Amino acid sequence: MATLRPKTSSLPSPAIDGTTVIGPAISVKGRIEGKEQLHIQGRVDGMIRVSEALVVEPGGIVVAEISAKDVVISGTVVGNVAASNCVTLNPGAKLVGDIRAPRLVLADGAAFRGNVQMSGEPAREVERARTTASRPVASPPVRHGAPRVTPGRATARRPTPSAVPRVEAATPAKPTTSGSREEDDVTAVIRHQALTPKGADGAVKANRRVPTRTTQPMVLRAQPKQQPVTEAAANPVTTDSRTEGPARRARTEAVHPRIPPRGKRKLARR
Amino acid sequence: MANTVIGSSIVIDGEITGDEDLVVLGTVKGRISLRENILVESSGTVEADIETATITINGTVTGDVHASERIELRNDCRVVGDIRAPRILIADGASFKGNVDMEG
Repeated sequence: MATLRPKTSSLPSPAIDGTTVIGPAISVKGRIEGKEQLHIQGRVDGMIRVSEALVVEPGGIVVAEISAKDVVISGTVVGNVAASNCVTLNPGAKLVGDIRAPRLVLADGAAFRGNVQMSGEPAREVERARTTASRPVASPPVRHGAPRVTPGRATARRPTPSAVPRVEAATPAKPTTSGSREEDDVTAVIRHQALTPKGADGAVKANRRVPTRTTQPMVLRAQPKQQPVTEAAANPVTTDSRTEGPARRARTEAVHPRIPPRGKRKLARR
Repeated sequence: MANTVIGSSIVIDGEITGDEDLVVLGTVKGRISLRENILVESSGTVEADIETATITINGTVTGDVHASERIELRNDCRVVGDIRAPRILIADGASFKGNVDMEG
C-alpha cells in the first residue's frame, strides 16, 4: 500500500505555509479568520478577520467587513475596513466603505468612497468625537487629505504627518466647551443651508395645494390679494384638485376684476 | 491553473465554490463545491460536505464527499461521512467511517 503514496495527485504541495490564497476562480461565502497573510484573487463575501496582512489583488473582489493588521487593496472591496496598522489603496483599487486605520496610503488612480478614521489607539475617543458634534469637522479634512496623500508609490510608507494634526484638531473640541460651541455653530449653519432649499420647496408646494396657508411669505408673494384665497378656502374642500380649482379662479379674479366670474363660480360650486 | 491555499491558521466558515484546485491546511466548515482537485493536508480539517472532481485526504474530513472522478484516503487521514465516487482508494492506516458508493 505504500506504493500508493508516491502516486501524488497533480496538486503541487503548497510551497509556503503561512500564506493563504483564494485563487481567481474561487468564491468563498462566509467567514474567514486566521493568523496569517491572506491573498485574495477571487471573491469573498462575508467577513474577514486576520491578524496579518490582507491583500486583495487585482481582480479580487471582497464584499465583506474586513479587519486585519495591514490591508493592501488592488482589487475591489465593498465593506468597512479596519486595520491595526496600515491601509493601502493601490492604483486601480476600488473601495466603498469606511476605513479605520492609523495609517492610510491612497495612491493616485485608486477609487474610494467612505469615511476615514485615522486614530492609532484611541478608537473610543473618535467614537466620542463622533457622538458629539465634531463629525462635520472630522470628516472634511479626510476629503482634503485623500488627494493630498501621496500620488507616488503606493507602497511608500508615509509617516502620515497629516494624521497627527487631524486627530489633535478633533480631540480638543470635546473637553473644552468653547471648542464644541464653535463646532455647534458650524453644524447649525450647515444644517440651515441644507434645510433651506427643502423648506422653500415645501412652502411652494404647500402654497399651490393649500391656498389657506398664509403664514409663509411665499404665499403673500404668489397671491397678492388675500380675500379670494380665504373665499376659496371657505369652500367645502375634500380633495386637492378641488382646492386648486377655486384657488386659481380666485386668483384670476384678483388679477382681472372685470371678468365676471360669479356665474362661473356658482357653476363650479354646483 | 492557479492554486487556492487555505493556510494552517485559517478558519473558513461558509461556502467555497469555484473552478480551481484547492489545498486545505487549515479549517473549512460549511460546504465545498469545486470542479477541480482538492487536497486536504494532514494539518487540514474539513467539516463540510464536499463536491469535487478529485479529492486527496491526508487530514480530517467530517462530512459527505462526492467526487465525480476519484477519492483518495491517505494513510493518516480520518474521514467520517459517506463517500461517493467511481474510483476510491483507501490506503492502509486510513481511518474511515461511513458508506462507500462507487457507482458514481
